[in-house]
Amino acid sequence: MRKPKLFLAKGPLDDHSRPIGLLRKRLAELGIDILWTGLQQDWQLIVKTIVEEDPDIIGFSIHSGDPILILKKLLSLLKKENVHIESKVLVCGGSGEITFPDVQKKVRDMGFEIFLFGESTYEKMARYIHSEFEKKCTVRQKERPLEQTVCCYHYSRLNIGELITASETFGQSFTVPYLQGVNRSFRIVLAGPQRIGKSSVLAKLLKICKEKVNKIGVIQCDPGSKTNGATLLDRIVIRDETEHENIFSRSIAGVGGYDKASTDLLKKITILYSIWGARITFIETVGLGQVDEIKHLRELADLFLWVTLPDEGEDFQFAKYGPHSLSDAIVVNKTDLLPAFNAETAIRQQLEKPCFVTSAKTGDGIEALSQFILQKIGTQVDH
Amino acid sequence: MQKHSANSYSAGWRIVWAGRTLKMMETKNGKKWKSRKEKFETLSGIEIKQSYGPENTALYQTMMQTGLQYAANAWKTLNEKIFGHPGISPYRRSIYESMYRGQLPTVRQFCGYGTPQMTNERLHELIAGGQKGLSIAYDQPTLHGRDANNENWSYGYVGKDGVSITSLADFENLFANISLKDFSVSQTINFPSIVFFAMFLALAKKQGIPFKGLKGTMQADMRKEAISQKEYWFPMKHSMRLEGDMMEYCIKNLGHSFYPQNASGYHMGEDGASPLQELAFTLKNGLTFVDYCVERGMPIDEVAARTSAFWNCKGFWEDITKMRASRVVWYEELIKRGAKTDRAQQLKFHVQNSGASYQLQQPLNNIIRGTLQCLATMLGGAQSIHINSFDEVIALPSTMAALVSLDTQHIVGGEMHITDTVDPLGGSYFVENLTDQMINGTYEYFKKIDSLGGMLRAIEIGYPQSEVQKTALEEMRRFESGELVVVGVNKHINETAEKLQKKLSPQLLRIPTKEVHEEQCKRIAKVKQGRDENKVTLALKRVSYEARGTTNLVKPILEAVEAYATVEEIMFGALAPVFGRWRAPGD
Repeated sequence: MRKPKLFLAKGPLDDHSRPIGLLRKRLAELGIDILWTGLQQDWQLIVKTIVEEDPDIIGFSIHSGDPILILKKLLSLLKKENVHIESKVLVCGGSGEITFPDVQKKVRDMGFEIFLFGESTYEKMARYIHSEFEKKCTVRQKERPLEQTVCCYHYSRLNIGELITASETFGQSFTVPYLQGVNRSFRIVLAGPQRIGKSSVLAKLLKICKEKVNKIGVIQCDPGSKTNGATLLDRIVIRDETEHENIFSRSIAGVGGYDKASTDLLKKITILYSIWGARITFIETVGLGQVDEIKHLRELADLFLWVTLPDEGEDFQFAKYGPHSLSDAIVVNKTDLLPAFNAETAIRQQLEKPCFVTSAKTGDGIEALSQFILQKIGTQVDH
Repeated sequence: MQKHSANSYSAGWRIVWAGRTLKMMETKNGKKWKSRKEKFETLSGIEIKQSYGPENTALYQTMMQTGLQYAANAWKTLNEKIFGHPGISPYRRSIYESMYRGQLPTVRQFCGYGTPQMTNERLHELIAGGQKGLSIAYDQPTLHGRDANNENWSYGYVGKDGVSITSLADFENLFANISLKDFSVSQTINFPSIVFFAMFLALAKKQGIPFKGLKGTMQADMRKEAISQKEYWFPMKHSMRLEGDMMEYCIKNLGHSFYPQNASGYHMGEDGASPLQELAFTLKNGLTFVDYCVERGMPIDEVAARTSAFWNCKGFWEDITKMRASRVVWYEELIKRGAKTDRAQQLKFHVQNSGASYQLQQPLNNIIRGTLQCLATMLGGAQSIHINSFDEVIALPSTMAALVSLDTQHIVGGEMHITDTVDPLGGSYFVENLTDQMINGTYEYFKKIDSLGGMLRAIEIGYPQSEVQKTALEEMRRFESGELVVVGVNKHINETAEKLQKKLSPQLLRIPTKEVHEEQCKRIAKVKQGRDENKVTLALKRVSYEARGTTNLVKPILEAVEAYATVEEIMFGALAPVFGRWRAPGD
């Protein structure tokens, strides 16, 4: 059973980030997957995130502004997008007017459960979330058929989001009768060790590709652990690009080992993206290191990019057999911090693979990388 | 601002060991400075001196009488060398010789809500109550540079936590029948501060007040915004440029009573920073700004003299020593950079007690918290103080609670004779030791920040932010384990007290946000109808054009403001396309 997924948000102009920072940490420790996409987002982006990520729980923190107006606005926007609010667990908290009894009553009438710091505890909140989540899951499981027939081009962003949740939660599979008629989206896997700037490279790639490719799907993975929830924070890095209508992005928790099952889930999602119309799907993996880990992932990928750091060439890492050996191309990132001569030479000499020297910070080298990708898609589609 | 009184020690020339420099001071023309009281005396008839040192202890007297004069004098000299004297560098004890004996700290209560008219009425009430310093609180849209009629961003926030200002027309209404000549105006605004500085100038022009006579403070500290308060949009270097432009303009056109830069630690404290982190990061922020201005060719003495600080006070000893240490570090760093004038070397600061330390439970306890924090602030030597109202943890303060917090300052400052002598804690083994540790800790942080490539780089990679977060998390764990006692929340929870106090809760001020929003929208429509669109477009184009170069932007923005361009038109319409957007990691 997967863990409940909580989308934590604040209104567009609410900057009191201390309580939500603590909340993120503590609730993840209590077994809840936390999706946090940052401060200063306008309503459109908040709603788009909810539609794509389809969280089980929407948590809203209000430390400034009028709680009733803000929550009403949220609900009305979600209704406008046909988001099935009844299936969501709504929680909120904060300071200011939300502590007034009459305001609390109105907020509860809207369907929100209120948790205030000092009055309630993180444990209490987590208990509530877990029990509500289980209740909703039982109801959903009963409602859902085991296999669903999905017809192409009839599915909106919202439907795709919900279908992903269904396969994530119940392993639901789909039969797609007319899949042959669909251009299967081209799967690009961005892999590499941790803290290498994969998300930043992805953000820069999206910036260029979104103008040239009609629709793009993105999957960002985060491992989590058996007890702890995942902190889904990668979306924050590509947030500016996800504003774009051409992009559909989804954060997936608990996919760490890349065994057959989790790779299957990724495959299902890419099929759903294809149905939505995506020409490319970027899959950003968690930090990887060993060949065994990427076997299935390699099979899934149409293009496998290995992201690495400039200083890795020095100790002859590339001479060894490693995950990079299976890749189609190597991206040497963070070259604004370290020059990449060594790595580049090592790769050119030892691997005979295309090598791209980039800096996601300055944007250097990203254009060439995106050209390479677009070229690949072109040839692939021709076949 | 502070008056000296000549009765403390011998007038005329004297030589004092001060920090690492030998400095000669002269009492100003031998004039007697106005003192708050005729005589400072206890109820028992004991005279209270202006300040105390080793010579006032029995130990010193004994040494003098028992043939240990040499040792006694060495003690005294060393003491003065290390700790200084009030009013004498390194200003560890205070920046003024007489401090509160001459004048009590300025009562500067923060005020602003709803429409400009609503706040104007409150300001008049405060002025009638004798307040000399005005401090304006702006609402969230204003702080973010958004217009009140922007539905996608501002809805639900207009006029809620401060006053809503969209154009000069609103600013004029805010200060209706208030002459800028008579009041020093502190504006808590950062991201669009240059627009509000221009509005201030435009209003002064309309009121016929020469710029030299203007008094006030702009917070304008974008470093701390990136670290804690998060109201930012532009990359750091562009924020620095806007602040630098204001500073440059002030040096050329305004007097020393206007501070266009206020290095603020308050928000870091609220965000969870320890007093040491608050001290180190804020001073580094301030010094980074000073360095930046000097690099642009401004004289260091002029820049530093126009920079003040803003501290949080959430505890007691640590906060007192933080304030004492801040003066020393500022002095030493300014000396290092070659500042010559006292005005530049003396760090002046405002203190607000911590709102985050106030609790929802048994709210009257917050009065006691505020009182002790007020005491700490006065022992630390603040120039002006704001004490939060006890119900502020719930909502905007009620009149009753606001008056209690005013009286808190009056009681601590006036009734208890706490302010009758300067730096009463000076020489205390504990306080001096803690002050030293704060100073050393600050330099440790400075070293770390320098090794990362300076403060701007450190902020860009999120170093101070993560330090603050770590402390906040640690504090929460200590609170949860009960190690950190909060009365009424995790210890001494008393249901009867809670019930009785909740009943006592006064009538809270509630802003009809929807109505204010609608009213402001109407007002904006009216202003836009009445203005010359061509003039606005031209002025905005000029702002955009000049932003690409290196010209000082105050003048073009002043032009746009005078044409009644809105805050958002200037910040997001004209400047954002040139400057772009930046985010700190994790925001």
